[in-house]
Amino acid sequence: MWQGWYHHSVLSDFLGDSIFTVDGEQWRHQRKAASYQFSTKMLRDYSNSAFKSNALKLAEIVSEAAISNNIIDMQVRCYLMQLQYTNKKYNTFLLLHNHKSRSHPLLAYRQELFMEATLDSVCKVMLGVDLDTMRGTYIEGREFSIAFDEASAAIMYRYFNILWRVMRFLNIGSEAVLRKSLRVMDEFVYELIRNKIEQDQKPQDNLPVSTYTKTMAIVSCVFCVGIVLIC
Amino acid sequence: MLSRFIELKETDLKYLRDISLSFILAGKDTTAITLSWFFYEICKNSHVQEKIAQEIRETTNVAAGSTIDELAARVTEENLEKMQYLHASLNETVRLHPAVPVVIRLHYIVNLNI
Repeated sequence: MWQGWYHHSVLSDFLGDSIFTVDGEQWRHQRKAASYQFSTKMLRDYSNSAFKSNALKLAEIVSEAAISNNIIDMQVRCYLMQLQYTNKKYNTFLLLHNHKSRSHPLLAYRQELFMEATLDSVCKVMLGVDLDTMRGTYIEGREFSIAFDEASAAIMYRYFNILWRVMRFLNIGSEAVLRKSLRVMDEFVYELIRNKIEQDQKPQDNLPVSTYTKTMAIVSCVFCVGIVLIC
Repeated sequence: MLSRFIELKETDLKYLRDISLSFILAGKDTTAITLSWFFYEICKNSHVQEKIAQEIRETTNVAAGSTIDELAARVTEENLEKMQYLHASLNETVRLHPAVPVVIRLHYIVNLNI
């Protein structure tokens, strides 16, 4: 895959020097590391259980909605959660769990269930943290999720907006949103990584390395779809 | 996964951050969009839906009226591999609605019709 300087210049603020933006030796290194990681049995089992538990949660939410005749939103984004989020930042949990508020026509909608389910699962596998955006119990997780969506939208907008460099320089419009979202995301991810490194440096934390298997097996029907993009 | 990279002596914070975010980006939207298309398609083709349900019932051996937790306990990797019809339906969904290049393709179709 050849990304070239153009994609690198557009995407690097968001994705840095990762597999989607670099070429040559750097790309090869990451590609190898990733496929090696995905072929380990430990990761396969781990991601299987992560996806399964989130699928269960999803099924529970859907059946709850079916029983109580609530409208739910599987895919389409309609910015309602953001409204709730900005107005009553720390009441998200209450809003989602308070059935009285659900009867309000605006609040009856739940947002992008599939997106939330996959984000929860992928974050669990990648970062080892349960964001729980489906239930909305983890405020930092929700903040990260919203920042992530805003940042990816703003980055994609760069492809249609030739003036994005000017906007970035002036810090206005979508570029201002992007900068703010990136700061939220970075804080969250760096904090996690630092904690992980600290944990790993403690001697008692010995993960079994002997669980490597050489065959690249199918992770699971659904998870495969996600990896297709990298291949 | 992050701890695996750390075990491989990767300590550059920026590098770890870039990898993590890329994988989240790769895994999130594509999977969610494909899931949506999958459910859209099985809603449209109810005989497929029934066949998938039948296959799941047969491979997992769940009794009628059992809860979702009981079903989940029986969905193992081994069982998943036996669900060929489900696998085929997912493949067909990806074939009909590829998650990544769909925007470009739609544009072409629009242009041709005009």
